Amino acid sequence: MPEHRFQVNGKPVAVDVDEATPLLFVLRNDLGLKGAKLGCGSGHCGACTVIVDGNPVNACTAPMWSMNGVSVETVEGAGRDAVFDAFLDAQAAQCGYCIPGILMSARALLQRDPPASADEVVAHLAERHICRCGTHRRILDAIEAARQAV
Amino acid sequence: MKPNPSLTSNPVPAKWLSFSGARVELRTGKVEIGQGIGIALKQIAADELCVPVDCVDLVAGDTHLTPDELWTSASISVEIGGGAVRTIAADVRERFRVAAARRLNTSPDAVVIRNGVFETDGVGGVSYGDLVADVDLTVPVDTSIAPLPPVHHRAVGQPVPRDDLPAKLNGAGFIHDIALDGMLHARVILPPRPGCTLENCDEAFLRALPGVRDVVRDGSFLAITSEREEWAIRAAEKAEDLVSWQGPKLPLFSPVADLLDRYDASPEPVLTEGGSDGGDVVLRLTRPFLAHASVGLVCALAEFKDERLTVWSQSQGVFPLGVAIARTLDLSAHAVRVIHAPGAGCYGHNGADDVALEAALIARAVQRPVRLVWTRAQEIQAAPAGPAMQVTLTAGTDTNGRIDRWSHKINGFTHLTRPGWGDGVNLASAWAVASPQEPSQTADPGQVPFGGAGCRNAPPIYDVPAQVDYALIKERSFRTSALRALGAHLNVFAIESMMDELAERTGADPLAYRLDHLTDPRAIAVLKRVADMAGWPPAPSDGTTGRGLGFARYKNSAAYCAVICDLALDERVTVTSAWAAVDAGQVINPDGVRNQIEGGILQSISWTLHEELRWTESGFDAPDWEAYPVLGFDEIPSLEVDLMDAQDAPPLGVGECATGPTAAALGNAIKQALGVRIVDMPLTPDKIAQAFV
Repeated sequence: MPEHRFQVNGKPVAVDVDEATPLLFVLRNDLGLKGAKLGCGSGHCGACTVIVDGNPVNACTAPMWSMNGVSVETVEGAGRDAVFDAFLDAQAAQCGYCIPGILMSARALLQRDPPASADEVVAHLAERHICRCGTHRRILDAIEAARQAV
Repeated sequence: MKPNPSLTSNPVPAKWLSFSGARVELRTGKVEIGQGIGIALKQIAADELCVPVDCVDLVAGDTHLTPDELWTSASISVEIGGGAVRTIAADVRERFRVAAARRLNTSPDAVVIRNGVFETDGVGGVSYGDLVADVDLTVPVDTSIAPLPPVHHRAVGQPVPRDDLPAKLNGAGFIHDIALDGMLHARVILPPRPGCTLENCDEAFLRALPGVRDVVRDGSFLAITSEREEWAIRAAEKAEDLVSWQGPKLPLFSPVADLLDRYDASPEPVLTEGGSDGGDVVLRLTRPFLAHASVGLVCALAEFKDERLTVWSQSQGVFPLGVAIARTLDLSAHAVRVIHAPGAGCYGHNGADDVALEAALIARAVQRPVRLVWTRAQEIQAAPAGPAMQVTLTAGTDTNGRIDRWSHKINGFTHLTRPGWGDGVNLASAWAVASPQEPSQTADPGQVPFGGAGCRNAPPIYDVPAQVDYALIKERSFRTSALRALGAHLNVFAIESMMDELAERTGADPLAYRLDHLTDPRAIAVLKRVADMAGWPPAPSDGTTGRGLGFARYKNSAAYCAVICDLALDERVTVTSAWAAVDAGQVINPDGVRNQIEGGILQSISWTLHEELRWTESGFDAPDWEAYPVLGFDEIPSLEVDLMDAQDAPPLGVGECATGPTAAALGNAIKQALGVRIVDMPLTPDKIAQAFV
C-alpha cells in the first residue's frame, strides 16, 4: 500500500493505507483522533468536517490520494480557542454530534482574510451542515459572538 | 402522593449513591440523550446532600451498576428520575447526619453540613467519606424524610453548564468513539422492510469480497466483518447488491389518509364525557410518517468472553434491551451487561436497540470484540419510523359561541414498539435469526401511566364536553415506534386548529376564545405571558406574513407551553420569529430547559413544514439527506423563551412540550395570513397553492 505523508495538527504523519481510503477513517482509526464524526458518508451532513490547507473539507469523502503534503487541522488540534469558548458560553449543543464539524467550519470561515460575514456564515452552514436537535439558533449566535471577538 | 416507580423498583440507597473521600458517585438509570439530564440530576443530588455540584460523579445506564429505571423517555426524567434522586439523597443525608452527630458527640439537630462537611458549632469537620463505615445504605429508603425547601438550594434553579459538553465538542464523547482492543468493524445487510427473508445469498462469494474477514449468517440475519472500517463499508455496499429479499410488498396509497383508511381498526373510547357527536365544524388532519433521521449513525459495540456478553449501546432503555438480547441469544439475564454511551440525538425509538443485538450476534459468532454502525440508508429504511396518523375532529358551539360538542377520533399506526413493551422481543434481527423471537402484540394502553401514546394530548385541556376515540392499526407492514411527543404532535395540531376555527366562526379573538374555555390558572397565565411577549393580537395580514398561536399542557400532566409563531410567505414558508412561555414547575436548570424548548420548537418547525417519509413497494425510501430535507441553517427564526416563576411547584417534564403547540401555531399562522387551513402535514407551499384551486 502507498505511504501518505501529510501534517495533522502541525505534526508530520505517514500512513500506509489504500489511496482511496477516506481521510475520516485514517484520522479516527489510524491516528486516534475521534473528533471528526461519521454522519452520512456522502458529504451531506458536515459532521466530519476538518480543515485542509485552510478550507473546510468533508473528511468522509476526501480520499487519501488527495492528502499528500497537505496540512489537516481537527478539533483536537484547535483546542479551546475563542470559537470553542463561544460555543460553551452559549451552551450551543444538545446531543453535540454535529458540533465538532461545525466548529471546524466556523474556524475556517473566521480565519479567512477578511473573515466571513454573518450572512456568509449562515449560507455556509445551510449548505454544508445539518443539526437535528434544533440548536441552530444557539450555534449561529455562538459563531456570531466569536466573529465579533475576532 | 403517587408512588415514584424509580423508587419502588430501586428502594435501596446503596444502589444510587456511594461516597469516597470528597467524591460522591451518583448512579442513575436515566441517560444523557442531549437533553442535559446528567447535569440536572447532579444539581438535585448536590443540593440535597449539601455538596458542590462538581463533587458529584455520574454513572448512568449500566445494567450491572445502576438502578433500573426502564426507559429515558416521555419527559419524565426530571419528574421521576430526579424525584427519586432527591428522595434518596435526602434520606442519605439524614443518615449521615446521625452518624456525624455520634462522632461529634452531639445531637443530629446540632449538626450542620457545609460543602459536604458535617460540623457542630463550627467544630468537627467530618466528611461523607469519613463516615462511610458508620452508615448503612442497604436499608431501604425512608420516603418520609422531607427534601430541603427551595430556599436552601444552591445549584437547583441555576444555569449550571453541562459538564459532558467539552469532551463531546472537542474529542471523544460518543459511543462511536469507543475502541475495544482487537475489535473488528462490522456492517449488517438488512431487509428493506418488515417480514422479508433473505434469498440468493452466496456466502462464499461474500467471503471472497476484498477486506472481508467473516461472513455471519443466522437465518435471514447477515453481517460481514473487516479489520478496517472502510473495508467493511465497501464490502457491505457490494453485498447489498449481491443478495435479494423476498417478502410482502408495501401498499402504495396517497395521501396518507387513504393509506390509513385501508386498515381495519376498531375505535376504543379514551374519554367519554357525554354525547359529544354532532358538531358542525369538521377538520380531518393528518401527519405523515416521519424519520428520526439522527445526524449520527446508530452504533454498538459487543464483546463475548467466557459466556458473558458486554454490549455498549446508545439505547434509551438499556435494561429492557439487555433482557431482549438475553432472550434472543438464549443467555441468562445476568450474563448480559449493557452499558450506555451517548449517541447522536434521535428523539425516540430508532435503530439504536436493533444495532446492539446485531453487534452481540456478530461478536458471538466471530469471538472477537465488534463495533457495528448502520448506514445512512439503513437509518431510514430499517429503523422504526414515527407513525402516520389521522385525526377527525368535530365540534360545535351553542348560541353564545361556547363549545358544547367535541369529538376527537384518531386512527394510525403504533407508537409503542420499544424493546420491553409487551411480552415479545421488539428487535428486528431477533425476528430474522434461525431461531426467531416473536415481536410483542401491537397495543396502546390508553391514558395511563404515561399519558397515552397515539391518544397523547387528545383529551382537550379546554372546558368542553369531549369524546375521544382511538383506532389503533395493529397491522405491521410499516415498522413504526416512538418519536418525540408521540401523538401529541398531531393531536395538539388538531385541537388548536379547531380552537382557531371556532373562534373565527364566533367572531372572537383566538387568544380570548381560548381563555374563555380555560379554568386552570397556570394555563391562562402562560397564554397571557406569550401574548405579552409577542404583542397580541396580530395586525390583519396582507398575505405575506402570518401569526399563529398554539397551546397545550404536555400529556395533560406535564409542562404548560404556549407558542406564537410569525411567518413570512413567498415561494417558501419561513418562520421569522417564535415566542414560547412555559410553566415547568420548579426548574432545575433554566438554561437546559430553554435549550429543550428552543430545540423542540425548531424540530417541530422542521417536521411540520418540511418532513414526510415516503416509501416504495420495497420500503421506506430516503437513502440520503437530499431525499429527506430537514430545517436548514438559513431558515432559523429569532427565538424567545420565558419560563414562568413556579419554583415552589413540583418539576414538570419539558422535553416534548413545545412540539404540538409549535405545529399548531404554524397552521394557525398560515390561516391568519391567507385564510386557508392546511390540514395535512407537512404544510408546504404546494399544499397552500392547491388550497386556492
